[in-house]
Order: sequence, then structure tokens, then C-alpha cells
Amino acid sequence: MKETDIRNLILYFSSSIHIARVFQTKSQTLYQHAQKTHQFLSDLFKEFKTIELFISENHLFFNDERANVEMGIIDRYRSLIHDLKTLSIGTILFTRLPKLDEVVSFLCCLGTHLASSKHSFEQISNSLKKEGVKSIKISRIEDSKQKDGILRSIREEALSTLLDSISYLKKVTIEEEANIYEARRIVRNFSELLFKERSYLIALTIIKDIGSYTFNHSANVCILSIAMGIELGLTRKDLLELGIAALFHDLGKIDIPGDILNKPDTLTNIEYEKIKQHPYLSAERIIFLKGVDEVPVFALRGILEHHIDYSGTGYPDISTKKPTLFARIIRIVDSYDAMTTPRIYQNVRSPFEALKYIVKSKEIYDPSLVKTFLDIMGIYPPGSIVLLKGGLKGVMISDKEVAVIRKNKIAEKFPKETTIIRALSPNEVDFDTSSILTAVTSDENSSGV
Amino acid sequence: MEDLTFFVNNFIKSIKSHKLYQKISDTTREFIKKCYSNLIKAQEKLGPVVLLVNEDKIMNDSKVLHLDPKRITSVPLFLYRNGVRSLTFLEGVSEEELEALITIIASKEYSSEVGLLEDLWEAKFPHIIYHAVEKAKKINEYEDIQLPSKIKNDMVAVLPVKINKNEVSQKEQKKFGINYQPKISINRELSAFLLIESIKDLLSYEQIHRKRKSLYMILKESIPNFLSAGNLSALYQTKKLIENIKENKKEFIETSEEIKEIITSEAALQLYIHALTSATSNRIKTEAVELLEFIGIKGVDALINELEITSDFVTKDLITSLLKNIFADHREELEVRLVNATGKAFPILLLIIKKLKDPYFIPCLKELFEKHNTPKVQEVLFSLLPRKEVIQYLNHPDANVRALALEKLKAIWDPEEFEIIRNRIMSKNFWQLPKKEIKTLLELLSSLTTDDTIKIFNTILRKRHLFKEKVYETKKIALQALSNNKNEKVIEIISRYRNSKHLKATVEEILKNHERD
Repeated sequence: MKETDIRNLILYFSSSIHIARVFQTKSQTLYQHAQKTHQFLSDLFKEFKTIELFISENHLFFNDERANVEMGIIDRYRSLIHDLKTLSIGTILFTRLPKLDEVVSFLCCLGTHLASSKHSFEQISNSLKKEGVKSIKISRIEDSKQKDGILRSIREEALSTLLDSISYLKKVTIEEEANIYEARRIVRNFSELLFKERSYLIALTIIKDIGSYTFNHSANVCILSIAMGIELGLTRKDLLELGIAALFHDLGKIDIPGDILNKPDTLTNIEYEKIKQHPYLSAERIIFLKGVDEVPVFALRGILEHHIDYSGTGYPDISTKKPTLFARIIRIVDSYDAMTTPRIYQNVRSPFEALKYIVKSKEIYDPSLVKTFLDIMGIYPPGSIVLLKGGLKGVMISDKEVAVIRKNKIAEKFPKETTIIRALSPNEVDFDTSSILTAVTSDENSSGV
Repeated sequence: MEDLTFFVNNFIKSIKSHKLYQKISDTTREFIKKCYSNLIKAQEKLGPVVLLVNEDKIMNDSKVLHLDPKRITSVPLFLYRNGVRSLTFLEGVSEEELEALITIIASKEYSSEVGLLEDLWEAKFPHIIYHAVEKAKKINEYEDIQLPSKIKNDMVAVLPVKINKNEVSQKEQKKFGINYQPKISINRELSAFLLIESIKDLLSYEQIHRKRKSLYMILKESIPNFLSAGNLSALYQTKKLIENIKENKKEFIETSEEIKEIITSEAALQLYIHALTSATSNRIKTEAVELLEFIGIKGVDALINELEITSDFVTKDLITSLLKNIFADHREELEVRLVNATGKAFPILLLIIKKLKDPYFIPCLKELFEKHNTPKVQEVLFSLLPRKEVIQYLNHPDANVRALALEKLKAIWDPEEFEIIRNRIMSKNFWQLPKKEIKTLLELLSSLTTDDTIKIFNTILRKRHLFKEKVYETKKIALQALSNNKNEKVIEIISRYRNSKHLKATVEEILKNHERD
């Protein structure tokens, strides 16, 4: 295959998928792109009987020939590999020249699944069948090095962004150089990761002990809030502001003495009054941050009101009757993260127990937003510890994967697919959830069954 | 390749021209059109166009399309500093999309190193993909943060797990009793309101001098935006805020004064008047009224002008009562304006004085009364004069003035007033007075039922005079006035005249009415 053919194939394919992801319908633009792709395929079919695109080790192969791409299209090349891997597609086989409609349906299906964060290979496969796409076959990326590779790289990116956010928050509290742009960059990165691999990033929020509690908690609340915002269909501008609000919502606690924050006994009135000041202190953190040329008003309000209940009660004593949307979102995820954190003054709850409490407390949390939160978290939220059939215990890292500890390095016989018996409370296990979660990002060695 | 070079050159020219004019001028539009047409031509030959961004050049593959050594106004350098490494233009890109991209790039300063990626991210272009460098560092590069003790990754296995998510979710939702999905959006029109509320809340908490000052400054810097956006409610909120927060420190007072200056500026005045006259919402009208009141005397000329031209009664009433409130604190100002007023302004100012009911204006009005004895001036003057002074005007040579004075009295309040009225009735020229004045005088007399009053009526009823018609007219008026007091004694006096040829009809009518009552 000529280099120009490879170049064109990559460009047309990646562009078409991008267009399909943006519009998520069989739009006129998609038809135009698909037509070009189809034309190009028909030229190729004059030379080849079948055409196969195959991903291996972060490389793309065309009919067993590895693609050597020039620098000019390297971004598009990586983007195509990334998209296909995200969808768990390892191979695309054109058994004959597809009809134009088949190409359109195929691209539209890929784009729609990429946009919706529903990346199940089975769902894509079913959609293609339903659409009558017969001459384009896809096969699942093998549960092997390729899939692990891409997942590990996204997961590493997720973990490094989490660390980035914590490092930033630390900087905000000690350095004058910290600015709002960095916060926005972190929120953008979190948002992009949530579009790509929501489950793992959410699972990471079960880690509570990176840096100080407040920093780790703030980063977790930021991740969960953005996930809520995405699910609610907020615009990118709104997502950015929501993320900022969540990232800063508790930073005021840095100014409250640790012996009050970590007091195991009941707080005195004076101490409680001090705690009640933290929304003000957090709001000021953001309003006086370097680079704030236009106050992110909704973020500011979200921070000030994040301890005001859905019913209008709570603290601090401000003019709010009904808290704003961002405050209502943060109210839910803040409580969820706090409840699932072992603290000296409270017993830790499992994610399931925390969700149950949130659902019951209709006066505190906006019930319609709770519904959205449940949709995101599912019955076994990522990060939950679960008891599996056969007595194994593991940590959910997505809605379809569970990480378990091997007893020894040599391969053990695990079932091909396992079933969950029930959720476990953190007190029922003797392993460290955080360690398992961070281990699945590492690319030191391969993992998997 | 030629088309590609032209495309990039016009792309750069469009950005520079946009930056220069700060808007899409005709020249800029011309460049964008050329840029777009070159892009389409290039795409016809090459498919999607990928531009690689370097510090000093823009390339396609390895071919340099635009070279600009590191100058301050270099577009490649600007893009590079902001983290953009490539731009891909997919087929199907529209001229509007290209223009939006150019606008975003042109809206930033050349020296700016922040904000571009954010704007590109928010724009979510369907046919333009940017590649940027802004990711986090590698995990092990965060020296200040310790990860939890790590399990070796080969000790962890990932197993696929089966959960029928939909089924579980439905079951759980049923259990939780939640069945509806929210419709969510952010109402950005509330921004100004929320900003002011938040600053108010923070000021109510914050005691540190430096921070309080900063909060005031944030508010101050936001007001011109409220004004240019025509956000009257936000300006109203601001007014409320600065009125309610008491500051003793000099610099806060200064800032507060500066804020006040902006919300009472000429531009603000025009906005408030416009709202007052054209807003359909009562809330907005009320806010406009309060803001105009806040502007105070500075705004009265504009208000009077508006009052002169408006024909809407509601607006007229609103402005009149507004002027009344403003002038209540500026009486001297009103006095000066009244003396110098011409045209429609004069009756407007008189009306406001009448509404103010302030005796302060009596001397001025008396002076005006002497100079220009117009019915309007008389009316306002008499509405303000005390009774004792009003009574003095019963002897005024002008019948209209006397009538107004009588009208103002309405009833006799004390013996002194009775004496004055009695003398007036018993005077020689009583019978020559206009009929209306006679009637008013007698009705006034009838407001007091004493023997003395009845005596006076008797005197009138017994009067003999050459001019009979006038006399009988007066007597009829006297009978009617006397009948206002329907006691037996009065009825008996009235009955005495039932046989009088000229008074018979009047008496019978009175007696008939009396019986009916």
C-alpha cells in the first residue's frame, strides 16, 4: 500500500469519526466525509480483495503492513488509534466494498458511542447489526497487551491529572503564583478524561489519602461534580465553572485549625462556628486568585451555598432561599466523598451505603440530581469493594471490570467472567483499595488474566 | 500546494487585521473570504488540511507555509506559546466556523499565554481540531506528593464482571422512589445578581480591612458592565448594597462614593428614564423610580423634560410623585426653579409644590400671586395657606380669589371666623356680590347652627329691596342654605315663607324633601 493511501485512509477515517462524534446523527457533513471515504475504499478495492485495519501495540496495520506516518498527520493517527481502542475495537475488516449507506451507518455508530461514553463493544456490535452493516466486520481488541496498553495509558493520565490537581491545590494554599488558568486547565483535563474513561476516574475518587484530606477530597469532588455536569448536559463553559467551584469548595478549611477539623469529640459552639465559616473562606480563595479578571460568579455562589440544603436550611447564614445548581451538585458529591472517607470522628460508609443515605435524605439533596448521580455511579459505584462468586473480593474499576489481588505472581485460574454477590463495607476487607487502583495504571509489567 | 500557501497567508492576515481593527472590518472580511476559498480549494486536492505549528513557522508536513521569526506579533509564536501544536481543518468546515476560530485567536493579546486553549475547548468546533500540549506531568514527577504504597501491578488482575446495569438501576430507582430526570441549564442572566449577592454575603462576614477593600473594588469594576448591558436590576441591587453597608473608614467611603458616581451618571440616568417610560414590568418600573430618586436633584431636569413630552398617565403620575420625593429634600432648589420656570415646567413645578403641602413655599407663592395672579398659582397658594390667612382674602377685590378662599374654608370653626363671615354678610355690598359668592357665604354660615346664625338668616329673609329679583334670588339661596340644618326651629322659620309668592316653590320643595327624609 502506498504511503499516500495510508495517509488518506488515516485522515478520512479519523475525520469522519470526529464528525460523527460531534453531530451524532447521519448529517449532511457526515455523508460528505463518508462519500470520500467510500470513494477511497473503492479505489483500494481495485487493488485488494479485502481490507483490514488492525491495531497492535499502539500501531496501525493495513493488510498486515504497518503504517509509517509522516509527522504532519501524527495527531490524527494517534487520535484514530485512541478512538478505536476506546471502543474496544481491535480490527476493522472490509470483506468487500461496502455500500455508501453502510459506511455512513458504521461511522455514525462509532461516533455516537464515542460521544455517549458508552463504550461497550457488544453494544456497538449490536448497533451495527441493527443498522444492516454487513460488509464491515469489527472484532474486539484482544484482552491482551493492546487493550491493557491503551487503558493503562488513559488510567495513568487520569492518575497524573489527579496528582496534578492535588499539587495545584497545595500550591494555591502556599504560593502566591497559583492562578486560575491552571485550575481551568485541570478541570478541562478532568472533563476530557471523563469523556474518555469515566469509570476509572470515578473509581480513583475512592482514594482519600493523597496529600492532605482536604486536597484529595477537593479533587474527588471536582471529578464527581464534572461527571454530574456532563451527564446533565451542561455546556463546556458551565462545566468549567462547576469544576472550579468543586475544586475550591473546601479550600477554606485550610485556614481552620487542624485540631478543630479532626476533633474526634463533639465540637463546641465556638468550634462549630469556625467550621461554618469555611464556605466564606473558600469563596474568597477563588475571588482573590491571580488571573481572575471576571469573577466566576456561579462557582462563587456554588461554593458559598454548598452547605445549604435543598430545603434551604444549613450554613452559612446568607441570603439564599434555594441553593443554585452548582451548590446542589456539590452538596451531593461532597457528602458522598466525605461519607466514604474514614475519618477520626465518623465511621466510613461503603459507596452503596452512602448512596442509600443520600437518596433517603430528600430534604438535604435535590432528588432530581440524586437520580443523575445514581445513574452515574450505578449500583456498584466504581471504587466499591465487592464480594465475588467463589469468595474473591475485589474493587470495581468500571461498571464491567473488577480488580482482584493475586495470591502469587504466577497465573492463577480465574473465571473468564465473574458475578458480584454483594457490596462490602471497607471494614470487611484487609487490603488497601487505593493500592489496587493505582496498580492498574502501572505499565511496569503487563497485567490481566 | 499553492492554495495551501494562500490559505495560510490569508489566515494570518485575517487574524492580524482582526486584531488591528478589534472587529471584523470590511478588510478583515475580505481576507476571511479569500482564506476560506483557498482552504476549500486545498481540501479538494488534499482532503483534510493539517497545519503544524512551530515557534516561528506554520507547516504542512515538512513544507513551510508561513515563516515569521520570533517577533512579538508572530502568529505562530503566539499559538505555540499557548500550547497549540497543530490545527486540522476537516472537509465540511464552514466560513462561519473559520471566522469563529479567527475571532478567538484575534481576541487575545499577542503576549498572552493563557486562555486560548480554553476558548478553543469551549467552542467545540465540529470541523476544526486542535492539538495542544497541556497535560499533566508523569506520575513520578510529582515530588511533593506521595502515592499510596503501591501493590506491584503483576499482583493485580482485572476480571470482567457481569452486572445487568439497567435491571439493577430500575430496581433500585423503584426502591428509591425516583422516576424523573432533571432538565438543567444555567441562567447566565443571573450572573450580575449573584455576584452582588455574593459580595454582600462576603462583606457581611469579612472583617479584614484589605479583603473588604478588594471586595468593594470587585463590585466597582463590575458596575460599568451592568450599565453597558442595561442591567437595571443589578444597578438597583448595587444601590441597595451601598446604602445598607455602613463603613466608617475614609477609603471605603471614597470607594462607595465612586460606585455612587457611576450609578448616578448621565448614562445611568438615561437608562433609568428609559426603563421608567418603556418597561412593561412593574418591578423594573419600581426599581427605576428608586434609582432616579437616588440620583436626586441631578436628574430632575431630565424628569421634567420627560413629563413634558409623555402622554401616558401612569408615567406622568410616577414621575410627578418621583419629583415630589426628590424636591422634598431640596425645597430651595424647587423654589428657584419655580421662579425661573417657563413653559410647561411652571405648572409641573406648581403641581409638585401642591403635592408637597409644605408651607415653606407660601412666601414665594404669595410673591408670584402678586406678580402673576393666575388661577393655578391661586389654587396652590390657597391649598397651602393656613385658615387665618385664607380668611384675609375674603375681602380681596378679585371675586375668584374670594371664591377660592371661601371654598378653602368649607365650614366655620370658631367664633372669630363666625364674626368675620357675619360682618361680610351683613355688610352693605353683600347684595351686590356675585351669586356664587353669596351662595358660598350662606352655606358657610349654615355650617354653624346657633341662634345668631338663624338671626342672620332671618335678617336676610326679611330684607326689603328695590331690586326685587336679585333679592328673591338671594332669599332662595338663604332658604336652601338654612335647610342644610334640618331641625324643627329651622323648618318652622322656613315654613313661614310658604305663602310668599316668590319663595313658595322653594319652600315647598324644601319641606317635601324634609318630609321624605
